[in-house]
Amino acid sequence: MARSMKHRSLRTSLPWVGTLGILAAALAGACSNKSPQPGDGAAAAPSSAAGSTSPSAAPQPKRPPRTLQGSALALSPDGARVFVADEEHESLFVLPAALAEEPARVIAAPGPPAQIVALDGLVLVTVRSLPTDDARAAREEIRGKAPAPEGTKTYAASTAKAAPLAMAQWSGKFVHPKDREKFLSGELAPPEPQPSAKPSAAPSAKPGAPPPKPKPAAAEGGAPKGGTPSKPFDPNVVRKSQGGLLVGYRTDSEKGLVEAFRVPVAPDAWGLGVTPDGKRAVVSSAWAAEVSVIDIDAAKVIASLPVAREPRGVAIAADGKTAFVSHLVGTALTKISALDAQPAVASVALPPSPPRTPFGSELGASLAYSLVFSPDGKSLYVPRHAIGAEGIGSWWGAPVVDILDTKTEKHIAPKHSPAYPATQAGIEGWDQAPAWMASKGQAPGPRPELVQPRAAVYRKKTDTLLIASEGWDALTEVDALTVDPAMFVRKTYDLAEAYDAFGHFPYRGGAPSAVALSEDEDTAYVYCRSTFDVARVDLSTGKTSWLHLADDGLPEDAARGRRLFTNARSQDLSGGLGCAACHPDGRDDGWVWRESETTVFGSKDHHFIGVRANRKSDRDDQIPKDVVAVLKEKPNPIYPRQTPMLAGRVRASGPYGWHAENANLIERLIAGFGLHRGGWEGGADTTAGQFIAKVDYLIDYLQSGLLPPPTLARELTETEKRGQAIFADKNKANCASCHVPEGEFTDRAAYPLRALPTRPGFEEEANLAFKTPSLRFIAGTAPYFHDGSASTLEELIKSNGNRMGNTSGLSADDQAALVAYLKTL
Amino acid sequence: MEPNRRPRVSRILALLGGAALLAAALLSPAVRASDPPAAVSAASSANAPPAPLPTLRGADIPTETSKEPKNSEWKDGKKVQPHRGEMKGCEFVLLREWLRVTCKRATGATLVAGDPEGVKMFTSGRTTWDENDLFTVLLVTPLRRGRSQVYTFLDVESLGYEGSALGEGGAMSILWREGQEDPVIAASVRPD
Repeated sequence: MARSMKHRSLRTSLPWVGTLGILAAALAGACSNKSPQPGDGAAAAPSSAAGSTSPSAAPQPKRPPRTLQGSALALSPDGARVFVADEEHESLFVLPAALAEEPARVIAAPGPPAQIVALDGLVLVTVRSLPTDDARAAREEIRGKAPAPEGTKTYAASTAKAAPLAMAQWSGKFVHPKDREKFLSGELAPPEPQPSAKPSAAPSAKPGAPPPKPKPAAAEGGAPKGGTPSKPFDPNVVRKSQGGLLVGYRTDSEKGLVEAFRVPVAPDAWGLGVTPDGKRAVVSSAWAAEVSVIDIDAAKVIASLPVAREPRGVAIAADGKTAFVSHLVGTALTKISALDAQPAVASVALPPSPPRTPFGSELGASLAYSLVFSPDGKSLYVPRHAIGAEGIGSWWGAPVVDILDTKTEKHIAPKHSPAYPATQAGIEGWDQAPAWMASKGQAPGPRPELVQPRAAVYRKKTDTLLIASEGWDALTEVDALTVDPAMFVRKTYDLAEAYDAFGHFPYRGGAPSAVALSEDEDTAYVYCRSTFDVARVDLSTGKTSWLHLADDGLPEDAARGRRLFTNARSQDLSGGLGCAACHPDGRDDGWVWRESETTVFGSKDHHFIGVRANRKSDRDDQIPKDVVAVLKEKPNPIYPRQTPMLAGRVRASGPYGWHAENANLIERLIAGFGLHRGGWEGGADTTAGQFIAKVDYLIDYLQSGLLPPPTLARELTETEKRGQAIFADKNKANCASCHVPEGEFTDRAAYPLRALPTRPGFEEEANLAFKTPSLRFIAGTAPYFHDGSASTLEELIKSNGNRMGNTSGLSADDQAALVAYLKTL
Repeated sequence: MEPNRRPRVSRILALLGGAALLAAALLSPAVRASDPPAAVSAASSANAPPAPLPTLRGADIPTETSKEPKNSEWKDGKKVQPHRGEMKGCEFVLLREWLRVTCKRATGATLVAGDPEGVKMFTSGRTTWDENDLFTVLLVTPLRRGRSQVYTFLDVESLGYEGSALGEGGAMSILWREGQEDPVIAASVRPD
């Protein structure tokens, strides 16, 4: 009986016990960490390169990283820390995730750090250069005091919502830059404008005539050195490098980070990606045009792969075998396959923005700093500039997000055709709208809040991309599930919010360059590198808290110039692009622009356009009809003008311009603003008002703070020495007679040369006297000549004949030696 | 009652209940296009809002092609809304594989990119502008698997003292890649 009772009670209670057991198991399963899904960037536990765990302690399971893609700002896997790579101060910062409550930690890096991937217990950092001792001393002089934890400060919280930009209109009256504070406070009554001649726009140098001597700045009626004096650096010293590095750091509760190992790579190490198993890293060296594949455990490079110019962002597929690399110049991506075996390189064509490509044209592309996979890995998003892209009001092109189908390796977007169906209301009197306004057949206008896309992350919960928009000082959220996400902006978080009314530079939130998402994707962290701030943005409310990392070490005016250099919002400086749009990192965008006389806002002047078809974007239809008739008979010629590199090349007082048409840098910047459609009304005094202060700030920055790329400091090889001799020999190539070594390899004089064949899409040059360009840094500035007609130095030398000096008598070996020497300059 | 029936039933119930709970706990949500932040609007009114229009699913769209519907047929179509974003004043109707978009106030439209096969568009109205009698733009396109398109719409833009002109209104993207189960229709309006 007792047994049967017990049996009965067991039989009754077992189902409930079973149910409870099942429930308990279900709860336990639901609460455990999910295993990584394909394409979400999370990794299995990586092995450590230098083991630091006690042999007696059981190894703790590693947390997957937030992302395996490098960025100047990264969250720790547990979300408690923010790591920031401050390139300008050559420091790393370790911050609490709340940006408050705990002091920041500052770690001096061996050189300028670029990108970070934060694994659990191991933080990998690319360092652009390990400077030589003299370069290090010079760089320390430039960047000023090293940052310290006590130098950080919080700003009041703000709301990063889209706000109309408040900048004072250009006053039209001269105000000395040193009187900026008085002007802003209203104390100063500006004097009447001084009668000074408007600097001439692009006067032609007569063939064979010596260039005009540069005049002192004061005689121009502008640009006295206000504020703090600038300290021009010697680019030939600061560039000297022992190479780039991938540095591995251990996290440390006291010091923040402690260096564990270094892996030497080619100089200018920038982009970084890590395979999901944590075993391999891919590092792009931008200036050196090389990608390194690194075994992290062994801390060793296993492959060094030459690639196209300026490799930047690295994205590694979920299978860990394939990586894609974006480029700052050019349209193609680089694909690296077999990362786990013998890595191999291939180019993948990705013509920018088919919907915006004028029929029969090919666009250029630039500024592909980053690229990011969709969570399912089927798409690769590449935010960048499409140079020459069509769009309502576009003259240079448009910011786009190009999407590569990773299976077919083709762009997902369909092409544009002008013959497509269109409809438009025929309202009487409205058919004379300017061409820059909407009309049937045009693609949407480029979105200014996306200009100069610098970094991007995929936000899974909303299927959007968050893009750090360097030129607009904003974080912009775009719809990822569209043909071109850049046409579908969902939200803009305006970070700067306030600009100096005098100088148009942002007070904070300048040049957003990196973005990271919290685990719940409701908070974004943004690094703003021209003002050295980190913003923590609540994405649902826009409420933003701030931490200012360090003050700019440059003199005050140069620091203002740094903020202006990336800024696309000041209409004084350009029609919608910052300097850094075409001169990223002070380099060049690899594009040959079209210079032509066009009419903008009723004023006829020389302007740049992206491709020939963009010319219709100006307001030509506001010209009187009889003038139009004349123009149609003789259309304004279009000349090719390649973007020049700036960093380390603007020390000389002058002259500047392809024809040496501008006596000094002041005149060149003013002419440049016009070419880039800076918006002062025609006929106004361009040496007056706040305008000249901006010129002053920018020149100070260009000469005191815009550092050139690092290059290996080493002795010349025997071949290079032979090339040097050929270069200097009057009886051989005789290059040195114009490319004077003591003058940065230029005599700055304009000489009439035998015309190059006219390139398709351009007209014959009216003026054949071109200024001898500097040969500094030419290894990285292909293509060559004002028209970009020589793709490589080898091609240039081979086809030169006796056009410049005389290379026709050089043997193939001599030509190769000469090219080898040129690449060291 | 037979002594063996109750334990069997209760055991089965317990197992079924546990299995149901386990399934609920372990099933991950279906992956589908999520709305971007701007598209979500909270219903704050005490009165229940009208039920939202459905979005298009691939299953709603036949694979066979058909002739463009006649005007009289459209009344049998199903009203739908874009998956992402919105275009105020625009109505979306699906009939067979044909999508008709009717936008009041728009002053024009363009197929910017994509296969133009079957695409038609019209603008109604007079030749004078009257705020009280707006124009209507009508656009008809077949939806086809593997075919993506981009459209722009025109609006009216004030030129200040110079009067008004046609301005940029908004854009629409139809994204339907090979192998993608459902098309994604996204709309946006150009901000002021």
